[in-house]
Amino acid sequence: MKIPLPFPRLVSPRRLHEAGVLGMNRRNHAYIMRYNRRADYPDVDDKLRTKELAIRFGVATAELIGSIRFQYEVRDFERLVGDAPDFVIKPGHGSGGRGILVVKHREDGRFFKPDGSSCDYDFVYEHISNILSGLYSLGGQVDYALFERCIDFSDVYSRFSFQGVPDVRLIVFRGYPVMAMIRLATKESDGRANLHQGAVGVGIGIRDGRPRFAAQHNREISRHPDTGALFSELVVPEWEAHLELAARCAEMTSLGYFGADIATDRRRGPLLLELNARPGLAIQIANGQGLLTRLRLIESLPVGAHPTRAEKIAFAREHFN
Amino acid sequence: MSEHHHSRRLLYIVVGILFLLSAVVFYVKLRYLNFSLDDRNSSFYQVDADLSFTPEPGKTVRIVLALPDVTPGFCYGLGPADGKFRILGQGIDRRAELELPPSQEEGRRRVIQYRFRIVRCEPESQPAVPPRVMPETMVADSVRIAGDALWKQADPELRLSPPARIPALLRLLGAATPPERQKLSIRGGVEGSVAGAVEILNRHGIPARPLAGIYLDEKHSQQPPSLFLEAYYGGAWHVFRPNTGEEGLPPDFLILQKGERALFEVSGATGSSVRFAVTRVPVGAERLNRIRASILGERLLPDLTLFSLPAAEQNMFKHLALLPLAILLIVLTRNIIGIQTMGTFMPVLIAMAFLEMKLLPGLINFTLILTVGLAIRFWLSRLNLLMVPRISAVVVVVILLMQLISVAANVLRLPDFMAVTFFPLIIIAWTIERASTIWEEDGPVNTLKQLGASLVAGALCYLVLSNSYLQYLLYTFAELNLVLLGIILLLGTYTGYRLTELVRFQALAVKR
Repeated sequence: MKIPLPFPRLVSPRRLHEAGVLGMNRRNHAYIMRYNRRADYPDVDDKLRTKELAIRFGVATAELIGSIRFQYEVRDFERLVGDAPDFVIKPGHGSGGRGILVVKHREDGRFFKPDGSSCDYDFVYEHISNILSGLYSLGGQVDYALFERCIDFSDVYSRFSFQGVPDVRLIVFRGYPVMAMIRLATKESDGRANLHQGAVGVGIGIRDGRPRFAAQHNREISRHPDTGALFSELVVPEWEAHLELAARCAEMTSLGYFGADIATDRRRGPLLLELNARPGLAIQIANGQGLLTRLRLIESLPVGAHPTRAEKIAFAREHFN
Repeated sequence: MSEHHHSRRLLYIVVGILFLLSAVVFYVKLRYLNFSLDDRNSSFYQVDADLSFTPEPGKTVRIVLALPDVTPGFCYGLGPADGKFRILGQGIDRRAELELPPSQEEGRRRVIQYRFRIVRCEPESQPAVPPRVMPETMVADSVRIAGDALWKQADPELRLSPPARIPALLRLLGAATPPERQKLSIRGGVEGSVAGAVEILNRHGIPARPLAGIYLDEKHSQQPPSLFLEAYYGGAWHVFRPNTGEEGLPPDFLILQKGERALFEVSGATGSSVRFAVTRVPVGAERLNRIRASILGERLLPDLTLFSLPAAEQNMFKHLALLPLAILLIVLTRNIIGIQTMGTFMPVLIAMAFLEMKLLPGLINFTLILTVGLAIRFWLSRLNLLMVPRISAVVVVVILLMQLISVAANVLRLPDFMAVTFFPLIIIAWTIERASTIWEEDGPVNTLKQLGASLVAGALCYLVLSNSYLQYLLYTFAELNLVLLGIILLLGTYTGYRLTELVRFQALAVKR
């Protein structure tokens, strides 16, 4: 953790604006409030709803097992899981990866997590109870627990990450993918992919899915601090499929400005992890570029300029390097 | 897009109206109604004496209340004279009297309010009124012996002059145990000390009398009368504080009664007591009241301004008067500076608690409660409790903690710490809950950073809330709050960068 100097150097707002940097106030006022209707938030905040929408619109996601809504059902969670060798339990209204329990395999009534440690029936029972009581939901409201199969994460990113499973974050604005990054866990971030905890953000060019820039703690960096891997060697496989997936997401919800988190499955390719109606601004730091210029470009387009998904993607690939 | 511009124009119009309205009212008040921007000389004190008692069934209740005597530096005006009270006597003996017809209701406590006004004026020198000749009082031998013993103890060699001897006597009386004091006076506490001292001094040739009055400050909304001792020597009256023996009247002290007569008497009732509430009322507002009253007729419509409320309520509103400013401060911290605090308005609420116990004790208390609360919350998380019971448990723990701090503060004689109960209990419990989840997810550094930011914001709010001039200004000119409202509305459309973003996105500006 770096403690900033008592008087950190300030950059002038004008220069930030010239660089096309999007600030929090403008993001909230000019984009989230203007393009995201409150009534559409459940599309992304309610994971079961996202899942149902995704299935309807042909967006690939992790396989759904089922959900538990009431405390009396918790006892029988093993019956719900059935023969599935692995499963993930998520809070239906969770955010930021809170309250997610991953079970890689089961043996003699014990549940093994990805890091090799194991837990028993009671622990899982407690965890589901906590989810139902709203421990991980926004505002502590009563929640449900969502069960889905584990994603068989591809190991294309494994040498670029310290533990954790990297995913690609794409910002989608009015159906156009505008900016992308991949978040890589470090020892400092404790295996988590949160940039403010010290994870590395690598900006990915919309054109080709190749790295453009990498930053940790707001500073440029070229090698992973723990594994030493060169970020310039990173390639996102099936990049077209990523863009296609993100653009499809824009069709399944009327949200105009959102973030899509996409993981790569070994067999099934890119899968939608979750959507976010208030995507953070750190993606600009990871790309070394401001978002505002790109958003403005999309806003300047006449309505219906690119009616199809393919045209939107083509436009984005042409303009957003 | 056009819809957006439309809403923005509407906002500017609304804000413009707010500013204009505020400016007009402000100007009219200042120019034509003689409101003053200066908070010192342009106000008077409104004192509400609340007499409470339980009438005895079938008996006429007679109430007598001593009225303020001339205190240097104060002029007094009489109460609203609502016809209920009769004014009797002159000077030191001036009293208000009220008789209530007998009631058959049993045991219902009644409260009668008497209101008077005090105006501060230039102190004028007054000739000391020499004491009336004190009649020899008949005292029991035991009282005489006990008194003489104390007198001797205060001045064993009988060499001290009155200015030194009286404080010594008062200190002895203050330190005396209740049984010792009972030998001198049947009354307990400070009252007993003063009565004892008066008796001893009078018998030893120093004319003395008790002096009762109240402090003209707004800190206590329910203030009991305070007692002092007055003694005459060297051609002048001298005032001494009981227990400490300190000489002189404190500033802002208003004398209500001198001499042996009680400050108030209630006959035909039991368990009577009196409490005073003091409010400072700006003079301009009073004038406004009078103008309005003459137009509408006082009896037709009750007064509509805040100034006509009872003193205790007025004081509450004075605290609320500054809240909009504190809230504006919060908006600035979050949207312009970009500092995240724990809970949006938590800093304002803790700042209000700080008002009751001063800043430093407040900060210490808050840190203490938070630290212990967090420790207990971490222990609770091992028990795997559901959320609502867990937070409830934290609430209970916080209550117990407050009680503990209060009791400890009482034992250690730290009165400021006893006000710990003013902390918003539920807010603190939630803060502990939030802090512990942030601790688990983002680590202790982030938690402490957010807590620190909240404390700094709370301290800033405190500085605003505790500023008496700002309080005066925003209470007297309540229309200024419309300006604050307008600014808050405008900040709602501020889309520029936050101060912290100028640091966060530095690299982006340098690059290209």
